[in-house]
Amino acid sequence: MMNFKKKMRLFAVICGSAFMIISCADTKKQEKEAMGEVIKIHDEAMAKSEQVVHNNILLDSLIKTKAVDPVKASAITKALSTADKAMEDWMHQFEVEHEGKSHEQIMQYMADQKKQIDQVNKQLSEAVNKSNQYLSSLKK
Amino acid sequence: MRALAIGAFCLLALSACKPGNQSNTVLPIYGNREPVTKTVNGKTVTDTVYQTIPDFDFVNQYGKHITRKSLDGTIYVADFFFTSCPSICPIMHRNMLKVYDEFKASGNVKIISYSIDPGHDTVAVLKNYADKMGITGNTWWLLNGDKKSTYKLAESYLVAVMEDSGAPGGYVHQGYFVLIDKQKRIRGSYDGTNPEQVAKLIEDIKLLQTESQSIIAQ
Repeated sequence: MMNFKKKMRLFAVICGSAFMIISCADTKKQEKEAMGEVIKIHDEAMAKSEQVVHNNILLDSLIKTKAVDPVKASAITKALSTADKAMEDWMHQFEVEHEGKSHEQIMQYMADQKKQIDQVNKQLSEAVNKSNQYLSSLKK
Repeated sequence: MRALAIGAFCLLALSACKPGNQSNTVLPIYGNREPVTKTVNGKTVTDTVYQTIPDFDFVNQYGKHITRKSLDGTIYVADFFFTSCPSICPIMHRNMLKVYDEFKASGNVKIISYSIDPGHDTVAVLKNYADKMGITGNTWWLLNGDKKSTYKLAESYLVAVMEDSGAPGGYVHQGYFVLIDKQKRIRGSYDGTNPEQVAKLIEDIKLLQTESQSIIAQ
């Protein structure tokens, strides 16, 4: 029969491993949530990038038909293309798989990526807003 | 004359819905349509011209040029994706694999996936993606073309979706699968992230396969 000390030690080991499993599940959950936040901004940005391409096409055809001031319109299409490229580049570098990385590394990675995609999202918003303003000023 | 044409068109539209025509088993035709009246052998005939997918010239994962003509006489499913998409594309293409597995042996159904990030999705990247997915042969083509042309094309494909939602913008990256018939007309759109809708798509493709020429040529 196990003595009290041994029982206590076994109990501690069981508790310890249970704790490790739970905390491991917990860190995985944190990582998943962190990635979810990044993806959420990505999806918002993606809808805007569609608007970016749409307005870019529209302005392109207006420039071609000489319906607008080419200098002004080209400055706007340039901003649209730059924002679009920034989005593409972000998507291309973003990693979904993180095998072999520590929890801290993954959390840091997601925090960095969130900052980056936030920036891209803002850039897209600005390009969309400016081009929308310009397009609606043409209608007047 | 215009009233006559409209009247003739309405009649035609009505006749298309006759119960004898198995109206519940015929898929609708989406997009703009216009009646065209012409004279054949001295008689005035009204025909309906349906919106079809415009021409394009893109390159597939094997580096081959694919145009509208490459899809002549083929039923196909089109979607828009990009290989580095972290959110919905993996789900869409897991579902599209079901369509692929179902029809890869049939020879008369294709899948066309247009990349909306052609700058990064080069032929080599697309081939690598296809290999990872286990796509072989010519049933499923992953296409690379000019980005603006791709978006313009997307607007033609997603016309049915746009009619439904009523709001402008935001369809290209929503994961829709669009069903196109042998005449290049739009016959359905499905949420590619939803397994039930994809199952419906598979059923609808089978329906199109049995659609007789007489119904098609109405």
